[in-house]
Amino acid sequence: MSDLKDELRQLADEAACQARPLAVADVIRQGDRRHRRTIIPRRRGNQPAPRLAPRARPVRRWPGWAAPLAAAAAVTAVIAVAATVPGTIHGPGSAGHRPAASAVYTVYAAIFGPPAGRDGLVPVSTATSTPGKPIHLRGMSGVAITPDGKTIYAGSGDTVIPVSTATSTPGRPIHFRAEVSAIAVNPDGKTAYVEVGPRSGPRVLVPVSTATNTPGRPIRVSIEGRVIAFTPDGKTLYAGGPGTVTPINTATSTPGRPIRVGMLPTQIAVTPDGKTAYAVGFQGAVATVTPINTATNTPGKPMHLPGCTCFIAITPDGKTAYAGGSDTVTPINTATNTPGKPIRVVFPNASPDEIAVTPDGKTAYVASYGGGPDSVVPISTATNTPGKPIRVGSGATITITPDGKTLYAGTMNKIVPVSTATNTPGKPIPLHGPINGIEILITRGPATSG
Amino acid sequence: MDREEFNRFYAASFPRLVGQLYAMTGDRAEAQDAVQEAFIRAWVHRSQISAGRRGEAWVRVTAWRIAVSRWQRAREGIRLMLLAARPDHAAGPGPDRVAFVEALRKVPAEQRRALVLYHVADLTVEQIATETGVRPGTVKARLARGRAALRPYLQETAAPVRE
Repeated sequence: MSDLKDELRQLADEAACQARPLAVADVIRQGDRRHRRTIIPRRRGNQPAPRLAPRARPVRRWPGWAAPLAAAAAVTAVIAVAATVPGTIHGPGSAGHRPAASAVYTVYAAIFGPPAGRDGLVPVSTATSTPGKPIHLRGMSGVAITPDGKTIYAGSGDTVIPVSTATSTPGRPIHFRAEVSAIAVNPDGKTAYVEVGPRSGPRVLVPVSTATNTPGRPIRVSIEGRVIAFTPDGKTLYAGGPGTVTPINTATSTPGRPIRVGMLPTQIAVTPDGKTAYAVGFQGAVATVTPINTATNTPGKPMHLPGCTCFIAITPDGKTAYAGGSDTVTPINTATNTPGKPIRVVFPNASPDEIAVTPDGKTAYVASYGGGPDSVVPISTATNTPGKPIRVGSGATITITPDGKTLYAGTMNKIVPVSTATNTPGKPIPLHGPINGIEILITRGPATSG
Repeated sequence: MDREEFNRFYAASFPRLVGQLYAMTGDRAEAQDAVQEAFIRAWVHRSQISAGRRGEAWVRVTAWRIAVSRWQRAREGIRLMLLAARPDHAAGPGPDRVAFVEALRKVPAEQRRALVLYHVADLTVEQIATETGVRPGTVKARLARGRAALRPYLQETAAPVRE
């Protein structure tokens, strides 16, 4: 065993990597509530009781890798990008970049309070770069969009509300027996899977038919931290839990034997050919990527990478996986499952938290949910060298349009289009209220409208 | 500290402080809860707190006090460190690490605190003295005793204590 300092630091780093903070909105809400309690004057006579701040939203669970996201998530936006009418964008792009593309997209920003009454979806047409009328969904939690882009499923307390993107209207709530924390839609578009359960205690995955919006029989599976991934054909769902990844046959909703990966996965990604799933997470203080053969559902040899390995993204050709966290992103040759030389991507006072690869596979964009305004860094996948940071504002999360021409970065209070051709930000699309952390989903389907 | 500063402070400091409190307390969940509670209090008292190291020190001291008071409440019939012995299912530490963590849990709490502030938070003896409210000599003694207690579990080379 080594030096005391090293041992202590490893212990601390391990715990730091797996820290799961409340959303900062909840921290502020709870703090404000206490503060108000201390300053609320006494009631006199029949005077009605002063109204306290709304009850704090039930605690959301955040995977360790999402610590900065969770920490910064006073307002969380989910951006869903859906192709609409082909044509030229007439948006007021800046000199640096007009979000010109061959298609017009509708970006949905899902906003989470405070106050909780402001929670909801805000459609933004990239044609006009202006936010549309918000769809209010009080106490919203997880959000997912169907592959055809027609429906957004939003968790709200112990319900999931389907929202038609054609009419921007919420449908009838789907009720569950416990709090909804995550939603994922099968690539076949037929079933949404809803993670339901208390903060501490067993959780279940409930399949919901997207045709009828009716929940099916709950699937009891070890799941924690919203770690859900599908094979591209949608036939298998992988759920990450403590020390395991469990495959679920989506046709029969039956879980297979848990695959021991020796860590709490923070993310799972499946190669485009569906042959390998990669689970990333921590084994002790060691960042680990474990490949899983999806044909046999057996784990391969784990790869140990520097720093907190928090996220993974696979290039469209399936040849390279980028895994990273802390201050590096490591390319992995998926043919041999060997890591390459780590690429240093340093954000001041923050860490890389997310990566997105353009559809042409030429550029991987790394984003940080915390830190300063230069929160997106492009990496050339040909040379694996980082480019100049892109100034989109503090704390960004990113999505790339299906045509690959524009990256949308959601930041503190706005959405910023970035030309992937020039890596220059365009005119921001303002959103009301501070937005600090953003999750992103992209539809692959046709028309929606804002 | 305004909301944006607090957001950044929280995002940047939360994981680090949980790591430090974990090393101090030996209980990940307790460390997380204590730091969480301390940040809620930090928001309430934000007008008196600055971001950065001083702010972190404030949150760390508050979190430590919260953790200690919880321990005290939990002591009814149970030894303090039994709480910390809860298995952690998230990680899979090797046998060396398990032995070290077990050894660390046996070190008196204030010695552990000093070791973590010195080796993890990179504070000087003077800074630790200020934060923990004891004389620098006491800090040195705690560091020495803590190190001695852990020596059987380490292959540590002797290093002078920096002031």
